[in-house]
Amino acid sequence: MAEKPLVVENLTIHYYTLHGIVKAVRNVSFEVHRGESLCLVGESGSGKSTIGLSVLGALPSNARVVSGRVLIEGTNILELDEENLESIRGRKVSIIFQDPAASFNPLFTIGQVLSDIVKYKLGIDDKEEAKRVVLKALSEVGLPDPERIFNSYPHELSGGMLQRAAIAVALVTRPSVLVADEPTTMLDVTLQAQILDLLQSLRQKLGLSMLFITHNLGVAAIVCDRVAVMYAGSIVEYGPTDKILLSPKHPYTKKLIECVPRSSIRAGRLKYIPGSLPDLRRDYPGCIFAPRCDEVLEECTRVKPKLVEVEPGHAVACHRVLRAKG
Amino acid sequence: MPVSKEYIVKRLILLVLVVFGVLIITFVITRIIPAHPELLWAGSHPTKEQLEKARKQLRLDEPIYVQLYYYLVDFVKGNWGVSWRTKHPVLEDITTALPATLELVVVAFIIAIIMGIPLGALAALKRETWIDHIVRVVSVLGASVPVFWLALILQLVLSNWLGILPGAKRVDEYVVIETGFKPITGFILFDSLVQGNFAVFTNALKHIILPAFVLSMYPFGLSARMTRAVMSEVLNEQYTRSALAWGLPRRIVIYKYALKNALAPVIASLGLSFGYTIIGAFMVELVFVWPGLGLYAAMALLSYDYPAVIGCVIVVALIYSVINMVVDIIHSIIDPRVKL
Repeated sequence: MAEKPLVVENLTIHYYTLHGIVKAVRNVSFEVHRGESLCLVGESGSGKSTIGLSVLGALPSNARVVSGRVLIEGTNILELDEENLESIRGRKVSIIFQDPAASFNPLFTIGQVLSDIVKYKLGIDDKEEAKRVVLKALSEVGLPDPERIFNSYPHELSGGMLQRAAIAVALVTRPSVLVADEPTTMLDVTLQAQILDLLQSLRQKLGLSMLFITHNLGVAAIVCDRVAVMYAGSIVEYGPTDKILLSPKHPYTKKLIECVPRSSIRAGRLKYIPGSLPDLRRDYPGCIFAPRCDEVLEECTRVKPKLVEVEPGHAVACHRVLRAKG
Repeated sequence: MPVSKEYIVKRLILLVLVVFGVLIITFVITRIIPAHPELLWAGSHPTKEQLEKARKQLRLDEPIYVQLYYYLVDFVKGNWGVSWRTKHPVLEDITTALPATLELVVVAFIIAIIMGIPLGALAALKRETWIDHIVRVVSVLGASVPVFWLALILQLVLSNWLGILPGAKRVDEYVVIETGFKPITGFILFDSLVQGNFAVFTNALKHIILPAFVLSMYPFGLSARMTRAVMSEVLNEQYTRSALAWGLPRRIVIYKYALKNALAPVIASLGLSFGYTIIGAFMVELVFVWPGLGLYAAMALLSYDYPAVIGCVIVVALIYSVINMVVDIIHSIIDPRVKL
């Protein structure tokens, strides 16, 4: 299979709300290679979760894809009808959500949900056989006593166990692409590390391509090969994780990294970025970050900066960086 | 089993307390209304002596707590007094009237559930389409149309003008006599079916269609609107969106998963309206000459027939309590988070 697992091209998504059209995702392109994990990092409202949902063709009903393509192993899923989408979901691409407790229907056991997935996605009708597959999937994600988990309702399990169960649900069908939408945000710090470890080892074991969505740069540093930094619906910088974290180029990335609270400098004041996210209903002729940027140039408010590679695999959309490079 | 024995016992004790409380309140209220039931008891044109005798017989000359004491003693023995209007024992009257009403209400609720829940679910799935609008209009109409009006119109058109369906009574006497039908429980549909008497069964079925349909309008509107509202909510829940994103087929997500979530609140509201309908059926019973409990209670109220009124109120309180218990138990079976 020469097809790339996940390619997103020129994706633009608008939300139709009572207060106007919100341009949530603005001409975003990226790709995830086989076995690689790419992080989308950004504040709330930067459009990263919208991209995550669009990869499954599971956008809310008030969202419109204005332009662009989302290719999963070469198939543009934005053009598929409901039936074909259903067959791609689970089989080729799956998702883990932020809140594991809300992801499971409270009236059904973990085993019932997983058995249905095995039945409808893998076509295993035999109950015994299905249960065997499910129990294997549950132990694969490090859940002790899979038999008990199988018969448990969501409210009988802890957040960490539920998130493991959710990972089992997403991976039992062996998709090639996994979208992880802030999978550790709702968990305790100690659990976060465990879940991230689990995801890492499963990714290596199964050769998964992962689109990891987070606002937490620390998490991104642990899990991801590459990072794409999003601001107000656009990617402002992407590159290998260490490059982005250690020598960020875009003023927004720099500020984002400064904002990460560090326990060693507890005495110092927490940093933040002055101003707030721009109004996403408007179009901006220049750089969308310009109103909050300390290093504005005259052209920043006039001309939209393009994503340009400053070194192989590391691209930035900033006039100042490009000018410095020449 | 999510329901414990202790819970059932507790609920049964509570049920006795509720019925007892209802009994006392109803008894006191009937006695403090300024009315003269002895006039009814003594017949037309009574003499002073006859009236005095009637008051003595009915113990109306005693203080209210003495009357209550005698009533309670009799009540526990199974003697609910004699109806001042029909001169029959109240318990006997009620055991004849109750099956007629229960049969009518149960059929009405079956119609309501069969129409209401699927239509409500459909409306939620097709939100803001013409299907949704039609279901909403019909369900609001169903819940708000006056039953006596609808009963009269349907009786006039379908029975009197077109002659498609019978417009009065539970069953035609001639069929009962010809086939030698003997009711056991008083539920004619049930009895005739058990005895294999299909002539009576079809005859009774034809008779029950119109009144049951009219009576089903309110619970139909209620269940359709409730199902639509709860279902829309459930379809927006994260767990529904997750299930779809994981690739489960849409029909499974909706009809196996989401519908179960929507069921508990719908059943709860239907349970409450069931208790209400037992007595509220009297206008339909009046129009269709249906010898039911609602009609009996209404007549008892109009004629100051205190023992009958108290008897009816107690039966309804009993039915309410039992239904609430059943609804709670159903809820705990549907929802594993509810432990009784």
